[in-house]
Amino acid sequence: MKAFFFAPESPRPLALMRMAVGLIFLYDAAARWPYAVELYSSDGSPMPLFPQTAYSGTFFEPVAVGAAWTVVLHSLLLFALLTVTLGWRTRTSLWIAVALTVWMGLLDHAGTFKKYSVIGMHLMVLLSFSGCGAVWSIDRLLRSKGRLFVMLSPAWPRRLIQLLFVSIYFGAALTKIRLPDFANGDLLMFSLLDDQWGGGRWGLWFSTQPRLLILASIATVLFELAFPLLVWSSRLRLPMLVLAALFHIVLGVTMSLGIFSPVMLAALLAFISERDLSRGRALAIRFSRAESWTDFAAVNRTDCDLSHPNGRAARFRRRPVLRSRVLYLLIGGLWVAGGWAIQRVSDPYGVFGTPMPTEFHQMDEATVEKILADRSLSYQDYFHRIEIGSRLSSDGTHAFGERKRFQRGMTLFACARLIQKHPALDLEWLLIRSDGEEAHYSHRLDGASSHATVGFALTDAEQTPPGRYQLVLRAAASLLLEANQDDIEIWSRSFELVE
Amino acid sequence: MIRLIVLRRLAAVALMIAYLSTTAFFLYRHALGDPLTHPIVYFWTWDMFPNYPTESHRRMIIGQTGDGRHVQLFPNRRHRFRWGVHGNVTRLDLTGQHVFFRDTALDAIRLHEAACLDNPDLEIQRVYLVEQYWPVRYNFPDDLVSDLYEDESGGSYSTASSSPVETSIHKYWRVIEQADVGPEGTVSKWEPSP
Repeated sequence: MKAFFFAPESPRPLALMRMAVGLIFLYDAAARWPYAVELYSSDGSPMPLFPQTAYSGTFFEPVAVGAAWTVVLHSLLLFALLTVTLGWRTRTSLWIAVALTVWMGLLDHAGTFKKYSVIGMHLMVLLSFSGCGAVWSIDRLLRSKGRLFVMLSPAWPRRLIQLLFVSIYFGAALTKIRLPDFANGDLLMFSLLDDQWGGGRWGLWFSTQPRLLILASIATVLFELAFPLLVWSSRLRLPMLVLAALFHIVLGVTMSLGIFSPVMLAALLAFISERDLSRGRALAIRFSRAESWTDFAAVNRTDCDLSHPNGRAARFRRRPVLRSRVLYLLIGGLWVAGGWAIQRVSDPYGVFGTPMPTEFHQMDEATVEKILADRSLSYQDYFHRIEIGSRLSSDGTHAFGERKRFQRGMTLFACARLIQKHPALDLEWLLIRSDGEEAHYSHRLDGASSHATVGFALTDAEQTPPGRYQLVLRAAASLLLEANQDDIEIWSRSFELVE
Repeated sequence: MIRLIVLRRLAAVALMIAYLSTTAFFLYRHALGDPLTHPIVYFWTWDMFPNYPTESHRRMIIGQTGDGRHVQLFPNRRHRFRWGVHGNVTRLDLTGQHVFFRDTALDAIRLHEAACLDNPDLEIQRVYLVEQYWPVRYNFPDDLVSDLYEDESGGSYSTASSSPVETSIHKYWRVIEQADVGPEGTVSKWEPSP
């Protein structure tokens, strides 16, 4: 246990993570910087995650300050994230970045603070206890004075990040296991179809493949449970890391999850060791055959100073501290002032004195009438998908097998998936022979049910002679079915029955 | 120096114990499905994909002026941030907390009052919080939806009209809440949609 947490190790894997996390959150914060006044200031419209109206007396609703101070603080956040990436005053920058990320995030749950923000916050806090700024950083340039050794640092911050990653996977798997619609692929399908966080072209195509969705859903849970157990095995570590990287890349390609995938990929770097970096470097040298890689490789394992972080080497660090602090404050101040000046001049919200037209769009009265008519969904639109087949899945959510040509002795199954909010419906399934004879099955579906299924046994040669058939679904709110309205016919499908 | 090293080691051990205990505690509660209501839970619970939508929606706020005309109070120029697959989702669409719908309406009414300079004909007398919504299957592009539904329904989703697969978006509107607006843009009572 002592070796697991306190073994001295190279800080370079965490330095990589520092750069990745800094860059990812810098991108994320920069994208929101033009909207800082709207999202976080008292002159805009903050939407706190824990508003006092819902969480009376909570300390988790930060004070929203005015537009000018908000721009100053958000510009400072950008500066802190930039210096995290560059490794300048790394620990200070990390703490500033964490404090401002949480402050701003808690003020805007709608557009800013998501689970990936929380994961990033954990990463930044844990990185601040590590030696991630000791290498590949401005801090190192200022302090090393040309020395090639790298200060080793204890492993525990990296171990805590690993355990955080593992707990994230366990938590995500537990959530999915508990949801009844996950294993049948419906949760994934509807998530991909969502136009807020769902899929682009690839994701939408994926959502049209029911079998792939089922397999992907089950594989996701299995992987999220297997990774935390298998990644500790030296033989399986690299395959698991490759799988995890692929998993998050696919997730990033198929869904619009903001910076979730990049954050998780950055967190995966906690499982990378100095030996992996050396292997990667060797591979890069072999492929590039470039001399410049030898400079990159100058600091290797044997160059590391094996003395304790607080040993003799520590005195090299302290000399340029004052110069670095002054420069940091100076450049940080200029950066923030520059950010404030840009927003002051552009003033897109009119909060810095720029006159802003406030006229509101007058609406066409016919459109308003249509909007206020408050029309409910047509019955057809309560049905998301209807499948037909000769076999029904064990949970009754999918139909498999024959679809167009059934043989004597088979059972015709149909399975309808409804959207979540639907009224109680009366359903009628009609099996119509080519001579017009009908067999029907009616049942009532309560508002909480998400699937409706039916099965017609095609066994009796007298009742179901060979030929063309049509299966029709009619649906309506209670009692309307008898009215035989046109709009209650939802779906039909023809098929052939052969001996 | 040795004392400092020992102290740092002790602090690290204390931090590790605290961090791991907290992680284990919240994972345990999550495994049990025992929801805690304190805000701190949000920082330690990894419940990604907790639910899914089967409808898409866009929110709008409409005000009726003293002279009977209607103005769009939201979206307006002060709400510029957009999100989503197509970059057209406002923050009101993203939040599940209804209180912000009302707050945004009150802010917009105040802004409108300031702009109409006490002209009673232009003041907002009634406000409607409305939502346009549609089943998510209409988010499919035409080619994909025809592939999917042709395969399932033999080219027709409804024989009643004998029409090909409906690929245009069926958009509906619902009134979430409405209210009379009093002097200085105040609302005393929100009425839910009948």
